[in-house]
Amino acid sequence: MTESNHLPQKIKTVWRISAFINVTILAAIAIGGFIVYKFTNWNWLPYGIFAFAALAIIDLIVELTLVPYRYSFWLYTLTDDAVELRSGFIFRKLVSIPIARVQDVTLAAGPILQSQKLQEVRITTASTSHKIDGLEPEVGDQLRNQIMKMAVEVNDHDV
Amino acid sequence: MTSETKHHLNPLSMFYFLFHHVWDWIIYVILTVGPLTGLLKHFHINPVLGFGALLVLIIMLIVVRYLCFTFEIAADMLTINSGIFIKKHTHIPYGRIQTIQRSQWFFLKPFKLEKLQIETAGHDDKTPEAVLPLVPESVRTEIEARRVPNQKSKIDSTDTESLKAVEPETTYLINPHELNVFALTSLGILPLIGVLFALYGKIQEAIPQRVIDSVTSEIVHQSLIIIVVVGILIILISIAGSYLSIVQRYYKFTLTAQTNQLKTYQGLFQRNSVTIPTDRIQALRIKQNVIRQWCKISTVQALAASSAGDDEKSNDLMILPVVNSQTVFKTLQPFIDWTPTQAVPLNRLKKTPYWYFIRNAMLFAAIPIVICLYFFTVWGLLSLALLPIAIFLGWYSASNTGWAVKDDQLIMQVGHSFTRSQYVIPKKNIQSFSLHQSIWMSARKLAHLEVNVRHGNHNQNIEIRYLPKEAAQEIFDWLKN
Repeated sequence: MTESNHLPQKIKTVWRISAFINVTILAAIAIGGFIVYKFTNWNWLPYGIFAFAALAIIDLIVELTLVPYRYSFWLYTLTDDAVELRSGFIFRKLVSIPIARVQDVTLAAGPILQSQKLQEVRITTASTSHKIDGLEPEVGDQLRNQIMKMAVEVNDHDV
Repeated sequence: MTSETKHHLNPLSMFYFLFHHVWDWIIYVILTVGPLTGLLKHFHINPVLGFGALLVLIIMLIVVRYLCFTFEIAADMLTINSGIFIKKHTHIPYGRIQTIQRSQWFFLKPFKLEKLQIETAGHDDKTPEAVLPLVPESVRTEIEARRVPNQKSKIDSTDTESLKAVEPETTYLINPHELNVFALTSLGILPLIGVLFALYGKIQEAIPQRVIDSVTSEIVHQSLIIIVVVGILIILISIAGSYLSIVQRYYKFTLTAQTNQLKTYQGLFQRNSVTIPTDRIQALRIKQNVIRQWCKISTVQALAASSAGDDEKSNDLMILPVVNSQTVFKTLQPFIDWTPTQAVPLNRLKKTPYWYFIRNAMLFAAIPIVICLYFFTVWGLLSLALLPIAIFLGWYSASNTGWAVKDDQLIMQVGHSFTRSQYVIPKKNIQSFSLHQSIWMSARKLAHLEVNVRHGNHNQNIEIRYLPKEAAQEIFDWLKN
């Protein structure tokens, strides 16, 4: 149980879908800008729209290509007394959250996560908040139970 | 309990309400003065009478507000009822109180009245959970008395020894000489100087050109002297201003240790006092700016989970405004029992990481320099003066970086914008921690270590950069267990 785990494979789909949704929103804004241009004579507007669209497309490409990178270097470890999150290869980051410090755990799932049967887990301490993008419901529940158990044992973690 | 009855504030607090909301009122009055006069005249009512009625209305509102504001000191919680249309009841269990702040203007002293601000760790922005604008001093004594037994009951029998060890009354009084040095070495004069120069520029603009012409023609040959004189005057006024403001703020600063709580008392015109339970202190920060480093004086602040504080920018709770650097821990020890008894020798960076600090500072300076060169070409070269400052800042950060683990505390020291801060953090107050490393740093076996502590209503992250990987990993593993 103490070895590092990747997020579930399905998270890649979630990331891809949300990248596309982001680009759709940006496209909607660009189209909105175009409609505004049709009714006005702001000549600079097309340049703005093109720049914006270009950025949106670049953003989509970057996000899509980074999905495997993100997946392979995003690891979490659940030990008896801490949650560890490891991410990145070029900029490496290792965060450790002692379970004794955890104030609350929130499990949440939006439509995309629900379609993949995943849950987003947010772990909050007295000062910081950490997010695990998606976990299988069983793992999420296990984490929650573990934290609740620990919280009952260590009752005296006053801030 | 007999005390479970509702109390009103002191009637004088109506003035507080009036002045506190005076700006709200003034806007309405100014906005409506013209139309109202017209309207009143239209109905053949004497405007004086009309405004008199408005005044009466305002006063009535304040009286009603005063009547609606009550508080109860019950056996286990403090309840505050307020609001005219929207009734608000705030209940604060004594055990949850983080800090009690009191401030008393000198003219209220004879009446034994003061303003109380009570804070919990709740995530409410800026405003304290409870403000009692004007109450007799006895109210605070009563609340504090109820807060202490509550804590005692929480303490296990094993802790009674340490309880006995704490002297009932240990006090520290600020040394006037040190306060003087402290006030004179504030970097706060720098912005003040800027403001005064800007003001001077504005005044100069405001003077009609004709006057300036006639005057300058007479003294044109003296203009350099005048500029120098004005400059010196401005600096002197700034120093005096910042000096006076600091001295009046920390005048007769007193720190008292009572059973499990600390109490500060300070100020000349307005006496401010903060009470905080010792176990609510999250970490300590020992701070000195460059000049104070040189004068060997330090400031000790507490990081606490409430926003009580007196520093205008941050919510730092002053524990010792000024203390001789050599005796910091010796002075602190009687007040906070977990601090080290003496200065802990820190691990320092090796010489190679210095370059990274300097490089990063130079990269930051490069942005304004490039912009200046682009827009002002030759004159932009003046901005190159930023480079040596950046190099110094980088070197300063690097040379002040330090860390140590002592008993159950992590000590981290960082240098930032001419100020050195040393943090003493008990392990149990570290909420989460992380290790950062870029791929290039991994080749050089370096890492950043970041630690998160609750401070006020937000997170304070304390990061030491470019320390050797093994050292960082060692601290990381130590924090894990």
